[in-house]
Amino acid sequence: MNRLNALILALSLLVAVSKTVLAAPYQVGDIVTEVTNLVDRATGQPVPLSRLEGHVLFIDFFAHWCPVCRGAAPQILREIDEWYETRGGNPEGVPILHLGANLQADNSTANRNATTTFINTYHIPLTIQDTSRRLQARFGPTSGQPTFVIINGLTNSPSHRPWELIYARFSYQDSTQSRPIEAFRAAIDSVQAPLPDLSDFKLLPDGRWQFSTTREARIPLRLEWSDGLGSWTPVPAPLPPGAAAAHQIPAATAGSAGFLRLVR
Amino acid sequence: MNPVRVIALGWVAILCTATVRAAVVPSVEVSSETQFSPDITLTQTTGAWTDRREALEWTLAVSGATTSLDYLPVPEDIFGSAVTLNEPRISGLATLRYAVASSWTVLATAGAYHGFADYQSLWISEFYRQSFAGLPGLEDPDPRGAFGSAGVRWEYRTGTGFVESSIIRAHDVIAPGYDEVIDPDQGLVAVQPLRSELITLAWSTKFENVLTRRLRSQLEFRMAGQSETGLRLSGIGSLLYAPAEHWVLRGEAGYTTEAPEEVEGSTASRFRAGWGSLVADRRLGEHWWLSLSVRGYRDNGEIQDSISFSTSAPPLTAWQFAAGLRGVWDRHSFKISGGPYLTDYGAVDFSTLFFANLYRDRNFGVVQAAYRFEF
Repeated sequence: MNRLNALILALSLLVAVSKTVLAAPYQVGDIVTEVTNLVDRATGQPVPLSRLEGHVLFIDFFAHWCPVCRGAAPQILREIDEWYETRGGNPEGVPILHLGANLQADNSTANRNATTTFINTYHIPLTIQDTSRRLQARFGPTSGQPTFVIINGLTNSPSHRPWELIYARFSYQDSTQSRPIEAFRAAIDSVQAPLPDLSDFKLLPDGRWQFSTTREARIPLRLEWSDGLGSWTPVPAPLPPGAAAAHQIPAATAGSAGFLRLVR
Repeated sequence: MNPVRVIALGWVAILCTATVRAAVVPSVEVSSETQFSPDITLTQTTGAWTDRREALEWTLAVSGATTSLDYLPVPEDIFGSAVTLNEPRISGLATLRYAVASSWTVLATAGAYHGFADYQSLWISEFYRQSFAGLPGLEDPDPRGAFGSAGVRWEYRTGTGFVESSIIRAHDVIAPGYDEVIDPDQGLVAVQPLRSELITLAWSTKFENVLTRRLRSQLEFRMAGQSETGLRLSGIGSLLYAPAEHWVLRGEAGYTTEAPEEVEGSTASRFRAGWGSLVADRRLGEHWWLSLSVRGYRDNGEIQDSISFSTSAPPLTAWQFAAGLRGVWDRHSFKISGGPYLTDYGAVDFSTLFFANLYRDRNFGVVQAAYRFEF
């Protein structure tokens, strides 16, 4: 019995050690905890979480000598970075932050300069160091590069939890020969911004409700009315996309008292 | 697939055709060819001596060639630099024909070369040299090869029916591609050469028949296998027709195919290539012949060796037109010809984008000249 207990104890320790040392790869939907422990290549300092919050994180694990990384980089710049920059973020206005994850140690002047040239050439706004490939290992094989990862950095998105892994892909072109850019965009575009709040309700003398939205909504939203939160009735007065503003709807379409909410 | 592979298989074709050239008397021949475009110039000069001692006839040929190209990296290759490359190549070929009986001839060929077999392999080698300069494991390329063939020719119908069969073995040392050696804490620390030696085994059988006084046919089948690749099968048919006293027409059509290696996850498709040519010769007076030719070639792209990064050529369509003049006297003959050679590659995809400048359409000019003296 003592030997059995010892065996069970040993196995338990082995499992515990394995979980610590060889953390299992993340699956889509998992929360990525390493975002609190990223090191800025430029400063050698941890990247503050506030730098990441409020963005969709597009992480590109690269090495300057990797031809596939070099081939992908201009496409990423043109079709992800510039694409979303000119559009003010994804369709719901969530900005994208491109993080380069450098896999090559700055162990020589040549390597340091080449990595810096790569970063500058492709205007990568923030580069983190992952020369041990420990972070990359959480998203797939480490025997090659590049690896692409998309994480939700919104703390209040209705579609994803904070730091939820949305997408991970090893290499750039797979056996389907499909363009990965489309998959990247689909993942980025799936992150929903929180809906604006409604405030400053006022029943006007002419029988209309007046209220304000707290901030810009990039997509058309609908209004729904409920007089007791039991069922919601669409209000036939869709709110167009636009900045925070005062809106008015006929009270007749709703009622003199009740609840109004915004839905997509 | 490395273009060198195509060239290695090309040697097989050269060997197959070399064995049928039979000189009647001792002769010497000097020939030269130049192929040029704005960024690539290829030259080759060959001297050949043919002689006979009773039943034994042999040809010794020595060639010197140069490849000059302006290597130009694509914009994505941010660490690449433009450079002009000049590489020589020498090669030698010996062909023996020994008539063992009135209708049987034994054939043997041996040859060797030293230098890049084609401009494509030189270009690709420069890409690797620039990509991995200074890293342990990067080799100075020293491409070379040797080949030999043995065969037999049987004249099964006197003067009108021949069959010839040969086996060929070629050993090529090519400029290798590389894998990265990655240290878990350092990144790239060295490179590892990939396959650099190729063994090619091929078999060829050819039938020649004089069908009528004006019509001769040739039908050839080839099988070639190379290290770790699929079997390449080829069929070639040609007709030589003399419609009138001073006219000779030659037509040829060929097809070759090769299945990709069975690799899990690979989506590489079967290689297919077809070609055809037509040559018209017109006699102009007692000594001169005018020759006009056209040749077309099309394939569906070399078999890709990797999904994400590959040196394989995209689909190619090529046309070559030539006009030539040949003068023939009792002991001398002279030939000069020239014309355009036009290549039209399909678009490179992501995996081959670093070779977009290599596989871009080019309009080459080709000039050939040859002089032959029979003793």
